[in-house]
Order: sequence, then structure tokens, then C-alpha cells
Amino acid sequence: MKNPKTLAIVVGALALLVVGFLFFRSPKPIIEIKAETITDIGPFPLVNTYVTSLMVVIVLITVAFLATRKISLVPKGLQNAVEAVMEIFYNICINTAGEKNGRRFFPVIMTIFTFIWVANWMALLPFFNVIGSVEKVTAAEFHKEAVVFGKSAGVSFIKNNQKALEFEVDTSKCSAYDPKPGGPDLAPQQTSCITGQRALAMAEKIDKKEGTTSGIASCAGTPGESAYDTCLVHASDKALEELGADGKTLGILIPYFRSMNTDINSPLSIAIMAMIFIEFWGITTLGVFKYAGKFFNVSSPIAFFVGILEFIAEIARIISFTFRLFGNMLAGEILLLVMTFLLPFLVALPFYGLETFVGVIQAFVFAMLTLVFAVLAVSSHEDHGDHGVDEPGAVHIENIPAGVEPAH
Amino acid sequence: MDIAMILPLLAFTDAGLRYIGAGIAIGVGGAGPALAIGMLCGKAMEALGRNPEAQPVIQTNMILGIAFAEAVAIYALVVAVMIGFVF
Repeated sequence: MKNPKTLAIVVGALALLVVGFLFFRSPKPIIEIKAETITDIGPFPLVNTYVTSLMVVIVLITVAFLATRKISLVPKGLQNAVEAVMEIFYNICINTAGEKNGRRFFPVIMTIFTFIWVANWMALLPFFNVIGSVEKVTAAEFHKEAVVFGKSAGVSFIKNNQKALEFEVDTSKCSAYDPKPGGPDLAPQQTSCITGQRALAMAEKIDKKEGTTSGIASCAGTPGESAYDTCLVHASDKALEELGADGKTLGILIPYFRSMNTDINSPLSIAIMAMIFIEFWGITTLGVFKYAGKFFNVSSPIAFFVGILEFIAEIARIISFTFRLFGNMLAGEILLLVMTFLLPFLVALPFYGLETFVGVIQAFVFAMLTLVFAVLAVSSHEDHGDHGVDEPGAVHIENIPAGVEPAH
Repeated sequence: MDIAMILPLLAFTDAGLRYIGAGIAIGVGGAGPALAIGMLCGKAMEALGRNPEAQPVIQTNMILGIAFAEAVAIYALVVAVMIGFVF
């Protein structure tokens, strides 16, 4: 380290990592695939991903308004930036689909791109996934679901100041009561024992972290004895009550904002919309019968099966569209959460760069695939010659150059 | 170590088997796309070396191809996450 500046940066980074590891551990990430419901509006649940998609719409409308407010022939500032992005896509559309079709496809392609792009980048803002209400978990629910929770990822109970309280259940004490631990149906004795052990872990942890007095020490007995387990459950209830009296909430965080595409419904709806447009373009360009003839062709058995396969592929496109976007965004979210959990601050930083890249690439891919499928839909089979649907064996004869005789 | 002492430790619990399943799903499911992406990038680099002027076209098509290949890994990931955390 010759340069004192480099030395300072390295030492600072190491200090940040150590301090972060010691004092700013983040809660264990909970992987929730379903979007959380913030509140119910009449019969409809208002989920957090919907709030985000409304925010995306507002951002897009604002940008469009500001960019076109004072429109000038020689663009400047925001208008210039928006026009640059538009122009890239406009050129791609024209080059891929031709002048006439490219102009038709462009608005939808551009809408898909900007919508997904802004949504993906917005999900990297710091207030996502952390601001929210805490859903209280009652002691009764807690003990009922304890066994299930103990088996899955381990639920984080997050207080309103964002520090995790996790409860590791010592089930080894209960194994003596069941020859097959984790079997389909637990003996009632075993269930009681696991609930008791969970209550014990919970009461001990709350006592240690929050200074409550649950009085678990006064319970006497062995695990599995119903009186002992009941005593433990009572003790943990008491700890929870004391915590509530201090004005602290113990429960699960329901964030107000969540990355739009980590909910499978939003990629699915975009995919369905894209496919409806693709079918619409195909039908309006080729006509209903010619377009349907792509999928239901009875001229020969082979053509019939090729048509069926194309039909299945058409439906599979919706699924592949959906899961590509959903999976990428969910994976990114999990990656960032896990990295922040392992080592706070610096380790997550390069992955933020990666997610920025992935966000724009996925939006681009979604839009480009829509464009490619649209081009395929508007081109009829006759346009691109031998596609394997003609009579087999007779296809390539005319392609053989003159003077070259087939060997047989 | 006595075999009688090890046997009780070898219990295959539901949760344990599920995590093994999730691990296999993403591990095997990621191998194919990894090969595919490697081949795609390698071929794209070869093409770039031969014809550097075609860089924009090659790059766009390469990224599209990678997205297709990557989608398979993403399906495996979704399956793994579902095995691990949903069912």
C-alpha cells in the first residue's frame, strides 16, 4: 500500500464490514412468493405490488408530460433523453418488422419496455421492502403454527425497529416420543412437546433481548409432559404480553412497496396483453381463416401435427414470458436480501449493479420477444418457403446443384 | 462408532428431503443453461473476431439467446424456491 488514499479506502471498507457485521445484522430474509395484502378495499385485496405498479404509471405519465410540454425541433434535456430511448427502439422495430408493420408494433413494444424497465429499477430504491406495517401474531396463532414454521425457512419476527427475533426449536428433546421424527402425523404428545420447546425458546429469547420476566425457570418437568409444556406456553404468553405493554409489536412485516414483477400476477398480465396483441396483429394482417390455418391444417397428417405443436407453442409462450420475468426479478430480490443478510453494507453493492443490468435487460428481452413473435405471427407460411410442412422427401430436390447426382 | 448409534441420526425428515430436492433442482437445472450461455458467448466472440463491424447485431442476438437459455435456469430456480418455501 504505497498510496495513503488506497490504504484509507481499504481500511474504511474493512471497518464498515466489521461494524456492519457486529452491529447492523439484518433480519433473516423471509421468502414470500405471494404478494402481501396491505388492506382490503371492499371485496378486493390491495396488494403491495399493485401500489408499486400505480407508482410506475405515475412516474411514466409525469416523465411523458414533462418531456413533451415544451416540444422543440432540436431536442434538449429530458425531451432529448426520451427521444434517444424511443429512437433506439423505433429503429429496432423498423429493422425487424419492416416500415409498415414496425410502425404498427412500436407503441406496444415501447410501452412494454418502459413499463417493465421503470418497475425493475424502481424496485432498487431503498424504501422498498422495509417500510410497512407489522402484522401482529397472537400467541394462539403462534403456538398453533409453530410446528409448521419450525420446519420451513424459519420465520423472522421483526419488531418495529427492524431487529430480528428468531426462535430455534430444540426438537431433539422430543424425538424420544416418536420413532420417526417429522413423520406425517405426530403423536399428540410430540405436538405438545414441540409447542412447549418453541415456547421455551421464544420466552428465553424475549427475556434475554427485551428484559422481560416470563418466569420460565419456575416450570419444572420433562419435555412431553403436558403440565410442563402448558407452563412453558403460559410463560411465553406472559413475555409477549409484557412486550406489548411496553408498546412494542412483535409480528411479521408487511411492506407497503414491493418490486412489481416479484408477484407472478403482473408478469402474467403483461404476457397475456402481449399475446392478445400478437394474435390481433396476426389476424388483422392474414385474415381469420389464413391465420387459423397456421394451427389447424388438415391438408396432411404431418401438417396437422405441426399445427397442433405450433398451437401448444403459442400457449407456452405466455408461460415462458411470465416465468422468465418473474423468476429473474424474484431471484434478484432474494440475492440482494441474502447478501445483505450475510454481510451488511458493502457486499450487496456489486449485486445492485448486477440487478440494474438485469432489470433493463429483462425489459429489453420481453419487448424484443414480443416483437419477434409479432413478426412471426404476421408472416404466413408461404412467405418463407420450405418449412417442413410440404411433402417430406420432395423438399430439397430442387436445391441440389446441377451436375451433382444423388448417390442413390 | 457403533452402527446403533448412527442409525437414529440417519432419519430422513420431510424438511431435510425437501431441501435436498431443492438443491438438486437448481444444481442440475443450472448446469445446462450454464453450458448454453458459455457456448453462446464463445460463438458470439468468434463472430465478433471475424466481423467486428457486425457488433450491434451480434450483441443484440447474443443477449436474446442468453435470455432464452437463462430462462431454463430461472424455471429451475422457481421450482427450487417452490419446493423449499411453498410446499
